Amino acid sequence: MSLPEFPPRRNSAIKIKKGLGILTWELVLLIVGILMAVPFIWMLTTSLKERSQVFAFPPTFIPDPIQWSNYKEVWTRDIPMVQAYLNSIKITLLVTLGTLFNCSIAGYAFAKIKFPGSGLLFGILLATMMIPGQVTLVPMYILMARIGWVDSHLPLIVPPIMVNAFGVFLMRQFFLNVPDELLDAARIDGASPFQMFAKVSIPLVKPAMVTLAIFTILSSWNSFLGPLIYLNTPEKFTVPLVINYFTSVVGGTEWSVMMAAITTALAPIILIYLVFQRYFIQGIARTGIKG
Amino acid sequence: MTKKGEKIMKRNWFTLVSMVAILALLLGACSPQAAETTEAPKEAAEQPTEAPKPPEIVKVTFMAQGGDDAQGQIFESLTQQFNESVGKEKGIEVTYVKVPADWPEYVQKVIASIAAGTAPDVINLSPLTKMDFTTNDYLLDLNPLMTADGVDASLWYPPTFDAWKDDKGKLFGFGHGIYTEAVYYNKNMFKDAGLTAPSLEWDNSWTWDEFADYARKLTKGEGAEKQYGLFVEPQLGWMTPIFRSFCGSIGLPDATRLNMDSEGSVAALEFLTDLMWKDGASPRAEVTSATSAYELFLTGKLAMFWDGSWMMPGFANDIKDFEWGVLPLPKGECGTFTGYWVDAYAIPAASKNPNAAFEFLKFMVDDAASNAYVDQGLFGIPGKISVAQARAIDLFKPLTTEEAKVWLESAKYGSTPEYTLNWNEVWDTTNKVIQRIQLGEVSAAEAGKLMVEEADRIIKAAQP
Repeated sequence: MSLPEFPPRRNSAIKIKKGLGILTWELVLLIVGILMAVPFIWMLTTSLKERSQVFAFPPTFIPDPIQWSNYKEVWTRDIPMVQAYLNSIKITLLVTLGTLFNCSIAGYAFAKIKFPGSGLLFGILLATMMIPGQVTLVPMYILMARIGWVDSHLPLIVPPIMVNAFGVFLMRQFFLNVPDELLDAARIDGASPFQMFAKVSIPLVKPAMVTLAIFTILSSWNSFLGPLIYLNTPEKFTVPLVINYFTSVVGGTEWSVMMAAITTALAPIILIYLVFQRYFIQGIARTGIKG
Repeated sequence: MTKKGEKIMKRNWFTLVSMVAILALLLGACSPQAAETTEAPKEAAEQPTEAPKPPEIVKVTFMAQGGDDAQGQIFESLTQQFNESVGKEKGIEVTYVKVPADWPEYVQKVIASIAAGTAPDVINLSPLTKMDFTTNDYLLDLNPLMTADGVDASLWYPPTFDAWKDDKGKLFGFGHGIYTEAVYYNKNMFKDAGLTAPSLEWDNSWTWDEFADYARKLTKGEGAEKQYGLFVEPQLGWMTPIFRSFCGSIGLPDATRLNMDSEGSVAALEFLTDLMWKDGASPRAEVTSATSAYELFLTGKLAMFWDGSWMMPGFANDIKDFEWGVLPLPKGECGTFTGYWVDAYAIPAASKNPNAAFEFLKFMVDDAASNAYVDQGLFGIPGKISVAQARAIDLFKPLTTEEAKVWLESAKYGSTPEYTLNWNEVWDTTNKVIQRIQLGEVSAAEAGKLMVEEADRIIKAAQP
């Protein structure tokens, strides 16, 4: 018995229909992609424009002449840009390492260790996510001032590591997916609780670790209000604060130099994202969390 | 556990311990400097007792906005000048704490430091932030310090003080310059529309009807190509002149009630609503959220921009492609008015060194500082009368002498917006009501009533 043959015309009609569907979707995605990219491209081109070209009408996308000196100005002006970069790197690195360590341990505990009050504690922890940062700003500042941490980087490092409900929640969700049988097997093989955490569970939640790392890097690197409130000495300022040096409350903001400064500040973030993009998408796809 | 397993375990523990050690080291590097100086008293105690005691230096902190802009630079250089002159003589050392932020974030920082007991000694404030500080008794009354020091207030323009007094006469700030409002206009667009500029005299100013007529004639086109006749920030503070001109006001002098349901205020609001949004002479919020009014003016899409003299340095730098100038605000039934916007220096009540702080404050409003403000084109008309008169020709460059006079003369027609208690919240609420007028959800009269009702609720909550 031979298999029935589909008429070739119908087959190609389906193919064309399918192809058109894909094409339409790709067109929609392309348009959305362009819309998303325009502000970014605008920032890049503005960073290369002369001051007089920034508000020229009709607007021009391609700068003429290309003003590379805007980038030079960002680094050579009498402002603490280099120091700010170093400060931001230090703070971001410490916060990210600390957050990964703290949140993964806490997330593992909430997911895999049964202890009395675990649900209640987790509920309280989640409830802290509902409190807007502005509400706790002044009490936190008072606390930091009392322990003498104002005008140091400690308030920007320690509290974000110690209290990160989102990170704990993210890690807990991933640890819940680690099969208990695997941990039981490790226990039978003589693994200690810490070994079960570090050797068995952590390798399985790598995408979550990378996602959390990227979220932490983004929020720590871009944080503005915290550094503004806690820091007084320009040498301790972070990149977002120093970028604001180029704005002016009395008019005369140098937009092209400012855009060059923003591009410079964004470069490491974009690089990190590109390197870890695969994990980041995996993390979002598995949890549905977009930060 | 196998030997290999033990080896791996040891390696993991080693990695973990190393990471914790690195973290501890890095955190140690972040510790505040206070920790480094704790040894100092011990060393000092070991010094021979006959060593001469160094003169006691009073440390003063001056907190103000600023970055690499003119304001940041001028505050930095004036602080240095003070330390090298008056400070050296009187044993005062001032540190300028630069806050590179906009007003709301700056206010948050100042209030947080006051609440934590680490208040700066001198701060720079905008009139919009006045009620945030005075309602909560955060500021020192400067009258006793002025009297004790024998400061002759007549040497400064009255708005320098009036804008910072409460209804009981307490003085919470010393203004360093007077910003006023007028109408910036694009001369090329006037020429293209066949319009001649009205009189530059505030006494002989154009009427609101003429102003509306100009705005309509200067409005043309549709969509992205539309050219707008007029823009004024759709917020009560900016609109003070028209409320006064129509015999109304924003609030009552004792700050306890809004006056937006009064006949004059409603009429003014109605006039602006018809002109700006019904007739479409002004860009709506959805347009200005994408392209600010400032950018619209720079790109020749906006003919008249009613705003403050604080825009001068920006326009002077950024406008290259057309001729521009300033016009007085129009006159109404009750006369011609501009708005006073007087930024001031204030001393927080929690300052630990109010006398030294006042020495610095005096320096910052006196001749040297006022001249420096003029050099940088900052703060509008200097508060010190002698400086304003001597430097009249240098103020408001690159305007012609006649146009610069529009700003200079405006000081006689000023009116300070009447801020109510809990102004920040009231302001926010009134802005939302104005948005509802723009959307056509409420009429001007309904909006006036709504503003008063909402404000009453907020003001009552703020009253002790």
